[in-house]
Amino acid sequence: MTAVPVSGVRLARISTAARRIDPILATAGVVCALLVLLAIAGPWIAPFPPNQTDVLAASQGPSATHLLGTDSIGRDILSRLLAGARLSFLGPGIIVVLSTTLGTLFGIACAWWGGFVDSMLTKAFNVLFAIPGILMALVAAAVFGAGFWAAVLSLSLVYVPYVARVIRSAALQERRRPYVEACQLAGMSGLRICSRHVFGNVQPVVVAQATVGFGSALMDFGAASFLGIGVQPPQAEWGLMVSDGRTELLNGALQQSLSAGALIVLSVVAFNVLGERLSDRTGAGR
Amino acid sequence: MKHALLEIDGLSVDLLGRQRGDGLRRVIHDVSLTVASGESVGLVGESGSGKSMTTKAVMGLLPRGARANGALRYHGQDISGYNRKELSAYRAKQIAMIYQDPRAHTNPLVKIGDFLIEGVVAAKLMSRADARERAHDLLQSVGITDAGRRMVQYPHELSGGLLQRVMIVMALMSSPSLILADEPTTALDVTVQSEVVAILAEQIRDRSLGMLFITHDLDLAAAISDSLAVMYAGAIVENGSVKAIYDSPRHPYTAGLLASRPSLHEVKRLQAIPGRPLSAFEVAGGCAFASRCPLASQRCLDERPVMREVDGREVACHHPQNVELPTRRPA
Repeated sequence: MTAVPVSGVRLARISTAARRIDPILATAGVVCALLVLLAIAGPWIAPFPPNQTDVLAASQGPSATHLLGTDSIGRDILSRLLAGARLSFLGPGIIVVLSTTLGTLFGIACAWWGGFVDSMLTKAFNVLFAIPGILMALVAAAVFGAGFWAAVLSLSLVYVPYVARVIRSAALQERRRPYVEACQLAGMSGLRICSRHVFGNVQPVVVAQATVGFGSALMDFGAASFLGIGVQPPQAEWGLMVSDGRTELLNGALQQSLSAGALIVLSVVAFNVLGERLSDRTGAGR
Repeated sequence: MKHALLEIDGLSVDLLGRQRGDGLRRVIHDVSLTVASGESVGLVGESGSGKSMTTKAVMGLLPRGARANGALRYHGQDISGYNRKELSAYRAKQIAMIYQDPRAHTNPLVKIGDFLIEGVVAAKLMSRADARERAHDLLQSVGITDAGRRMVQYPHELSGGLLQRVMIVMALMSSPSLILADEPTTALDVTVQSEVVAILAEQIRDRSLGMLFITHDLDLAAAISDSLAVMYAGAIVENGSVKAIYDSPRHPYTAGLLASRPSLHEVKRLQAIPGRPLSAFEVAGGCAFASRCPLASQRCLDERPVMREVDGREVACHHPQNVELPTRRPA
């Protein structure tokens, strides 16, 4: 009988914890997790190889064999969506990792040194702000040739100032906190204080910013592929698939553009909502 | 020649104004002070009188754009001559600071144990294991019985009094020879205050450390210090042994401070010093205290008094002998 009150207490705790969970945050989190899972497992669960053509079954609508129909040369759209998820997520993933790393470094450097370093870096960011991501990707494609890496690297560069600006202001607040002076007085080096103390305290902001950034990077990367300066055919990628499907729209075969486009929209919305809710929770939006 | 532990010699500090073209604002004016090994000096003054800025100068942590004149010598060596590395070593090994607000001065994300050992380990003064052991021992010596448990807790899990003891331990970790205590008890409630002061005094005495104890509480400073320095508007106005200053102040400001303390024995209105405290940059030619001083003469308005020896202490006043002694209270 002693177990009853104990489990009662536990239940009460769980239910208060459950009530504190924001349903929108939870939904967005689950959707994002599912999408990432699909991207990882995609090629294995796809019913057909993504590049297998079947000209006799071209441009078909949804059927029992091809759940989402086929494209103009008879490739299974569902299989291509699943296989394409990898590139569609890997690209923005690398963009976010690169731009967040650089942006955090620059942001903390600005806040720590201030003065000349700060004003120079801030000016450099303002110049970068003026360049749209797609324009930079176009230039990179023209110089290095269109492809996955040209789009990824150019977009990473464009995203740096967005991250740096947010981290800079968060780190400035941390910089003025008295414990930083206490660390200095303990004889710690600036590098150590920045990496261990300041970074630790701006970390929630970094995570929230990276999540929101992933949503926009996904859209920009898809747009680059759509314009033909990102991932090249015959590889499967969502932005590229939207572009491929355009020719069939006039024939009334909406399935390819529509399904790939819907997945992009779903992912962007899910990651944006997740990022914004996260930054609300961590107080990063102050 | 034997040098004092810390010598502040004619220190003046000017800060840049907030706006461009504001010019320099004087915050500290010609401060001289010595702390010998094993001696505790109380630095007393109102808010804004330059006490904290003096400690910042001693640590070499003046804000950006500040100009300091005068000499700061530690064991006879001028601190301003230190390069980055020497300054870092000086901060890590020689001086330690105890702050007014322990909660603001700890990183909320770092556990007590890690916080205590980080400084000494980073400065390569001892190994991680040794540092952990030392932290544990020191925590026990300041009366924290469950030191092991406290070391894996975060700052928010400790009360203000406990956290201030942790700060005392932090200050002692590197076995410094000089401790700067900047209003260490102001943020604590009165019962905890006396405990923390007792612990601090005990540690200082046992280790015969030098201490610069900053406070606006004259009685507290007198209780813990060997000598007192009273600051007003960025300058020291009276400097001498606790007994001399307490029994017979020779500066009207010190006398005013002593008279304005509440009494345990009689119920009466508190005496206030008329006017408001000046900042150092507002002081014109004469004595900074002249506008509030009952003894002010024409000379006080024209000529700034310098520190000179009167009755066994130094005082910056033109009329030290006219200062009214505070009424003696039964002990």
